[in-house]
Amino acid sequence: MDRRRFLQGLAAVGAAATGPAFARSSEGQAFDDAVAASPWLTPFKGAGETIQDLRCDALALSGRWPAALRGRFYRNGPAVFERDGQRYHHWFAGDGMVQQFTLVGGARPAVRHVGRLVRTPKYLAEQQAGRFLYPAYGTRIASDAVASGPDSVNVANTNAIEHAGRVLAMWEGGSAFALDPADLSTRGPVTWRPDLEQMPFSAHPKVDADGHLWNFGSAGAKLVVWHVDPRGALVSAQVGDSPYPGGMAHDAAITARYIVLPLPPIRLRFGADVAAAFDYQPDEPLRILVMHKDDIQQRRVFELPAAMVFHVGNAWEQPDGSVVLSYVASQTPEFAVHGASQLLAGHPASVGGTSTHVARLDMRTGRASVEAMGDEVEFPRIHPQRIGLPARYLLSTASPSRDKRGLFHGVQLRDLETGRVAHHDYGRDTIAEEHILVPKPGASAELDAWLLGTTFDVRRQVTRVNLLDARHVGDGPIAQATLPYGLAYGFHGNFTPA
Amino acid sequence: MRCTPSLFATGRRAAAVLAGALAAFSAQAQVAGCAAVEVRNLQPGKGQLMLAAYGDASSFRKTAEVEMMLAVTAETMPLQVCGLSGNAVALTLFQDLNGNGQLDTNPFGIPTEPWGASGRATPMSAPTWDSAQVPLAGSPIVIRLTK
Repeated sequence: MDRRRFLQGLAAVGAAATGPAFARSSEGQAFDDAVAASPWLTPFKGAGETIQDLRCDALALSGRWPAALRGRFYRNGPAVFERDGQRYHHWFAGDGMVQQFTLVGGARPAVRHVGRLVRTPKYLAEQQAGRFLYPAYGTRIASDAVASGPDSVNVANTNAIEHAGRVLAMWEGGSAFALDPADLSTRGPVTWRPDLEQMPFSAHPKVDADGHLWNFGSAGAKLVVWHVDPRGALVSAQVGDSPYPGGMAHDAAITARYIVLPLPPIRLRFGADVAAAFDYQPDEPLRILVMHKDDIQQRRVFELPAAMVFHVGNAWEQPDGSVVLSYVASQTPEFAVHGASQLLAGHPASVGGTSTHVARLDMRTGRASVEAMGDEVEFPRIHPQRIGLPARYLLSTASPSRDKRGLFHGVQLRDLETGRVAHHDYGRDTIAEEHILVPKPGASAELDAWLLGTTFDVRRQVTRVNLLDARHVGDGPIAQATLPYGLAYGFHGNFTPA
Repeated sequence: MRCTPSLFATGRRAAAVLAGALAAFSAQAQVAGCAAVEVRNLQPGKGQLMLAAYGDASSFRKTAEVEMMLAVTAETMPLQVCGLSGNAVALTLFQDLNGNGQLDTNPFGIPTEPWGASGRATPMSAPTWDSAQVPLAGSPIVIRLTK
C-alpha cells in the first residue's frame, strides 16, 4: 500500500467523523487490552461512534483481475458495538454496515469500496442520543425508549443482496432495509404490502435462476413464507404455524417445489443478557420443516438428532421425490451461546466444531438420514445458478485446525459426489470471511466460476478482497485488492454482475 | 365502571368537545378515582385516540374499567381518565388512523397503527399488566405513542 492511498483512506474516515468522542468503559478497556495481545480481534472493535461511512476509490491491486469480472460485491455485518462507555455483549447485536466493492473489470481493472452504516430508526436515534437506547441481541439495555415493534430494534446487520434495483440489508426479526445501489444511502424499511409492516424477513433469501426471491420469517408460533418476483413485487406472503414455536430459525433452502427450513431446538430471549438469552433443548430434535412453496400448509416435519444449525448450503429434489439438504451443524450451540459473546468481549475461548452435513429426506415415508463430514467449516455457499437444483460443489470457509478461536483461516470447495476437498489456507495471520461463487460470464458449469471473498490481514490490519479460480482453489488467489483500512468482520454477502 | 356505550356512539364532534373538557380538567388538582395522563406523538386530524384503562392483572386487555375515544387535536394532549378504582392502573392506547374502531396489526400481531402503553416499554412483545401498571396517584402518566 502506498502512503498516498493510505492517507486518502484516513481522510475518508476523518471526513465522516461527526459523532461524539468515544468514551471508554471497563468493558471497552478490557477489549482494547485484549486487542493489544491478539490483533486479529481488532475488527470486533467496530466502527465506534465516530465512523459512519467509508470510501476508497482505488484499492491496491495485485495479481491478475479478469477483464470480464464486472459487478458489485456486497457484504453486511455488525459494525457498531460501543456507545457512551457501553459495549454490546454479543457479536450479533451490532448495527449493520453494508460494504460494496465495485469491480470495474475491463482493460484497466479497478476496485472501489463504499461502506455505510444502515440508517435504521434505531441507529439514527442512538446516534443522536449518543448512547444505546434499545435492547439488542444478547445485551440488556436499560432504557424507556418507545418501540413500535421489531423494526424499532432492527439492526439490518446480517446479509446484503441486490435485487430488483435495490440493495436489501437484512436482519432476522424484522423488515429488510432498502439501500440505493448507487451510494448505499438508506431508503428505509421494505413493507411488501401495507398490512405486512414489520413482518420478519429473514437474512437468507434464496433467488432462483429465474430471479424469483424466496424467503421466510418467524416469530413466536408463526411463520411467513415470502415470494417476490424478479421485478421486486410481492407475489405472496403465506402465514402458517411453526412446528417448534419460539424457535430460532436462521436460514432456509429452496428446491423446485419446496421450502426447506431447519429448526434447531434453541429459543432466543431477545433483549436478555447473554447468560439468559438462549434456551437450548438437547432432548428436542433438530426439525427440518419441508413446506410446499405453493401452499405451506402442505408440509412434512423430519426429526434428526439435536444439533445447532445456522446455515444451509443447498437443497434439491431427487428423481425418487426425496429431498437432499446440505447444511452446517454443530453438536452444541456453543458458538451462539458463548463463542460470539466471548469474541466481542476480547477473550475468545474454545468452541464446538461446525461441520458439513448432508441429510436425505424421504417425502413419502417421513424418514431422514444424515451424513456428517467431520470437517471444520461455516458459511456454506453454492453456485448461484444452482440454488434449489442439484449442485455438486459446496464452498465454505474452513480451517484444517481451527485455532480454537471460532474464526477461519481458509476456504474449501467440497465435491459432494466424490468427497474430495480442494482447500486454500490463507495462513495464521489471515482471517478468512465468507467466500461466494461468481459464475464466469457466458459459462454455466459449476466450476467455471470464481471464488470471491474478504480476508483480514492481521499484521497489516487491513481488509482484502480475494479472487480464486474454482478449478484451482489450492493455488490460492489469482488476484487481490487491498483496502487501506480494516473493516468490521462481516457475515454474508452476494455479487451482482454489472 | 365502564364508560357508557354512548361515548363510542357520539362520533367525532362529541369526542372533540369531550377532549377539550378533559384538557381543561388536567390543569386542576388530582381528583379521586382519576389519573392525569399526557399522551405524546399524536398525529392531529388523523382518526381518534382510543384509550382503555385496566384496574388489575386479571382484567388486563380483557375488560376495561374505562374506555375513551377522543378526537386528536394536538401532538400532545393532556387527559383526565376518571372512573378508576384501586391504586394502580394500566393504560393501553392507539390512534385509530383509518377509523375502523380497532388496532390494526400485521398477521403476527404487531400493530400497524401508532400505539402506546403506560409503564415500561416492551419492544418485542405486547404489554403485560406488570409492564404497564403505574400508580394511580402522583405525577401525570406520560405515554408516547409509537410513530
